[in-house]
Amino acid sequence: MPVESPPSSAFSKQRFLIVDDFDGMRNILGELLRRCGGHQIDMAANAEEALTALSRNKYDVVLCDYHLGPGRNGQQVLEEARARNLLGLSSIWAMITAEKTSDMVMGAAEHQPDDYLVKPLTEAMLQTRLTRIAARKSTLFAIESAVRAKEYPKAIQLCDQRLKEDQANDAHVQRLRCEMLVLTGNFTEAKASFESLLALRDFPWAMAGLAKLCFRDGHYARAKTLLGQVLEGNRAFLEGYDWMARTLIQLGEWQAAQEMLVRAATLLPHSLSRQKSLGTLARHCGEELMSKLHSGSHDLPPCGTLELAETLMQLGNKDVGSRLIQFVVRNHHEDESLLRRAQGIFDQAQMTEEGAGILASTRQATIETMDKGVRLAAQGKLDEGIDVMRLARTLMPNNPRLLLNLAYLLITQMEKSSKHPDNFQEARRCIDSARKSNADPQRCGQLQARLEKLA
Amino acid sequence: MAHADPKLDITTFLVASIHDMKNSVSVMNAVLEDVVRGVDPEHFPEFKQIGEVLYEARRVNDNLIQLLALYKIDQQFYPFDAEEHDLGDFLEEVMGRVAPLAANRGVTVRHSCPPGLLWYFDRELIFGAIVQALHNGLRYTKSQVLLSIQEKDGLLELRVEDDGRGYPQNMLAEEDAMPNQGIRFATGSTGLGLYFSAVAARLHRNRGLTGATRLANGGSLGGGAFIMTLP
Repeated sequence: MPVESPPSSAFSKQRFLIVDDFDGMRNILGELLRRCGGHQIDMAANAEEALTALSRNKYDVVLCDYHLGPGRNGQQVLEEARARNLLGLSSIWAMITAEKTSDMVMGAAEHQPDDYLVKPLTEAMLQTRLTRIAARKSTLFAIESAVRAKEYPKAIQLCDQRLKEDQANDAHVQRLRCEMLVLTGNFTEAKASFESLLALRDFPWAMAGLAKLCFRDGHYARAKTLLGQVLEGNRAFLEGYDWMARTLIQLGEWQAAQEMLVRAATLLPHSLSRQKSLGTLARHCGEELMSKLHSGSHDLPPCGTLELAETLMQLGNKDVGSRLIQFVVRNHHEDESLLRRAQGIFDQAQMTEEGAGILASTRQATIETMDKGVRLAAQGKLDEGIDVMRLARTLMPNNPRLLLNLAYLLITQMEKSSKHPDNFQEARRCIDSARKSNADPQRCGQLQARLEKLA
Repeated sequence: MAHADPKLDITTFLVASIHDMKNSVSVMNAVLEDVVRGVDPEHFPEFKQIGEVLYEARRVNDNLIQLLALYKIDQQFYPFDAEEHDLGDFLEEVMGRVAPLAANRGVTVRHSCPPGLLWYFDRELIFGAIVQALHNGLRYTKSQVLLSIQEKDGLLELRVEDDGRGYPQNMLAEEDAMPNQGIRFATGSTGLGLYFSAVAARLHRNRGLTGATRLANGGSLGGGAFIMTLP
């Protein structure tokens, strides 16, 4: 049987750049290319050398190791080369890696290299892959030019045309097309495309893409199902955890959201960029949670919020964790056990003093706001007092004392002048919310009775 | 900070060492293959012995790669990536990997695959499993090994067959080609390869179907057959 294939003529005409920080590896790659018939081969040992070489020469093929030691990695070099227009549209960028990562697998096709080659590389592998990539790139040349020029509508049109004419490279074109549809805000069409693709095959990228659109449209249950399926197949997909946790927060499935965050935290944050991604995930989830809390329509107990805040802090986002704790304090400024628990979280995050300061000032500000409302009312400035209380309620929608004080002022005002239906409803909602937040039932009952008299 | 101080336990060292050993063995393999390629067996009496070393080095390399992949799968951070691949290209790469060893052992490796056949699978996992099956075939066959790839009943079927004595009866009984005999140090069979193949196949799921592996005797060459199906 034939062991050696004849040197491909394409290789002999092409100019190659090898980027690798180990000279041993550069030599092995160079030798492989020579055996395949290549002879115009340049070498670069790091990002700077690579970019210099790229700015001086036009290369047909760049073989770049993903890990380039300290400094920029292969992906960053690729992005910079593209941004600085150092790569011809038909230039092939093959990223060499010892192992694939979830970012490589699930990342946007627009930013990916032409292929990933997993070590150990062989002659046969270089021959088949580079030949196939070159063929694909030449058929998709027009689409790629439009994508690189960020002419997305044109790219979509070209994709449509291509899909009508030829089924080869179907999945790649479909994936690009869907990305462009989302980028240009054609959500309905993107959704339809994802759905029809998923009827053919469980493409993880299509499931993830559709899940994001479902989330956007508020179809959280569907988003949850899709993300669950994606994460089952790809358990290291960090962005998937991000969307899943936010979806669960929207669904009010607090325990599951908490578990999802804990799972994300155990995903070996061995690299700096991974830690950064975890921080971003924590920020997204924290903000999602914050807006959910401010909307008032949730049944998350304050200790649950603190638990989530603690996990977010462990994920490396102290800021959003601290803001959540402040929310809890504003709403439960008289609950000593919650305050102690909050201080405990700050202690864990090694922010003992800072945390104590935050807790004290938040508590103080809460009391002052409330006092201000009460003082204004006592001076007979009922309307102004109500305004202050209303503003405070947006910050502390679950604070029982505030809710009852606001209800009290509203009722007093209506008793003095006339019953206003909006104010009546507002007072009723305040009392209901206060009950849910474990306000003194006797005081609630008294106010309720006064309110009903007005009915 | 919890992350600033990563826990260095024995697992960390084991995994890092496996990684390192895998790279070393990989370099040894490349060098050996170069040596074998350049010599004329007629004038080089040690040709066969080098072949043995090459075979063992390949085995070690396969095992280390599989151990690492299994560790990642077990720890749930293997980035599973079922992409569309041309089976013709795949076949060529597989042949490129096993050819030097086959040539040295004087075994003919034949293959068949309909042109233009495309399928979705995780290239690294399936490549590892099929190369392992072929290496196994090279070890137990008399004269030839056949790799055939085809679409059958809506599944992709990859078969590695040989004309050796076939698998022992106790191995055929398994539902999956998953060893339950435990580790047998005496025969050098840990069952790792078959276990890896079964795990790799099972990770492939599509629309309610799951990949699988099985062993059989007979086949088109009359020896053992390793069969993997992917949805």
